[in-house]
Amino acid sequence: MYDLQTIHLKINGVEEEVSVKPYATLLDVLRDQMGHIEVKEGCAVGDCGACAVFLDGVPACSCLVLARQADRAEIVTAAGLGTPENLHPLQEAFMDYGGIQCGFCTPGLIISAKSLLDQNPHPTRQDVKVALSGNYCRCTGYEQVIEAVLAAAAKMDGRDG
Amino acid sequence: MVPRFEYYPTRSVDEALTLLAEREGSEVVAGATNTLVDARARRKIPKAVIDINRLGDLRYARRDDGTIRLGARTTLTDCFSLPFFAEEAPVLEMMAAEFAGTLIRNRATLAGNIAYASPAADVVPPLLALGATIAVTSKARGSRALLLADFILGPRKTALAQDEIITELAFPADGETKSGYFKFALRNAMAISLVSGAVVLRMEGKRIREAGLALGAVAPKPYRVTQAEELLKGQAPTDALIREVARVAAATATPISDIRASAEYRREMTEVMTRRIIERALSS
Repeated sequence: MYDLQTIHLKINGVEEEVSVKPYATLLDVLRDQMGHIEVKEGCAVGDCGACAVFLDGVPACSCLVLARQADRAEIVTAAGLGTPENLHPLQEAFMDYGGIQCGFCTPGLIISAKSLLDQNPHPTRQDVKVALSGNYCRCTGYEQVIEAVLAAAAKMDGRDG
Repeated sequence: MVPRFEYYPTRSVDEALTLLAEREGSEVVAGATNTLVDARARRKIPKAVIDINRLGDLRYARRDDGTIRLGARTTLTDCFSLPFFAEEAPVLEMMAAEFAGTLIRNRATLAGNIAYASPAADVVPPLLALGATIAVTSKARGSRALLLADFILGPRKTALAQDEIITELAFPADGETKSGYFKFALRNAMAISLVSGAVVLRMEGKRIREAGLALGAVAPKPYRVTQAEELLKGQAPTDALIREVARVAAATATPISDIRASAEYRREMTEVMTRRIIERALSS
């Protein structure tokens, strides 16, 4: 009844298999079974957005997705958007503008910001605030985060990220 | 830690209905945004979760002659990402833009919010104002449709039987419509409504032919304010009438006092916000 079952995930471009319990969340599987610790557990009830990942291109709280619901899905985490040598413009802008303090909320914010810029390459300040409204940050007061997203948008100027 | 339950993905409504009928204590999920929260908090732990999240045949938004039909898997994000809603049901687009936050809207469904039957369910007032019906189906008894107003019985209680699945929401599309929506809460996002409301005015020139006005979070369940609707019907409203309608609407509210706001404050805001959305709808 509660047996392990193998699911197939493509995470940041890499095909992987993992055996999961029926009640395991995608968040727990990504972090505890697969080592993707860039996906953060904050509230674990969908309020804070720290666990956000792209699930088949759509940002979602991985704490509210069962791992088996994600079977054969393509997942992109914040670590899949750039490398330390070749950062994504959003990652660079978060550092340049002080959008990172403790860093805990950052992976989720980067996912939501990336989704915004994919859909709307020239967002207004209000667009950014709405797009990030499901992500809590307890350090920055959000101003630096908003500045970072606007700066990344200007730098990318409509390029695909 | 999420408590233990079984998990069944489904490929068709029929498969989901069979599983649901066979397994007592099972629960249908689409976005699972309520089910997993309640399971983790151990408020309600399903024996089995039956997943309809990949049923493409329940995700549609279309117009059949004079009726708008929305599949049960329609998400909150669909309500403002699909141009269909701006044209055919702007009140749902307005509501969806203020529902929770983007990450939740991407997975949460209209039907799931209805089935959960929170007194503060934000999806419900706009659909009540539109005069929506809800279609449900079971293996044993087939399909039936009922008024949404009759479907929700009270806090966390609906007319949905254990073996039934919600399949569709429908409402009339007829004529020129003006609409308004408000969500009044302590934050602009990820907030539980102190009071929410929707108005749908079906117009005939400057006159209101039919009015739908519904409130949420100020009674055991969201409800239509029929007394206020009657006052608007057939009228080309003046400021005085709109104020009267808002006063009548607020007088029907029976809100609770809790950690977020007092009953008095909720009632006062009901009047203010009702007046504003009618004004906004008429000037749109």
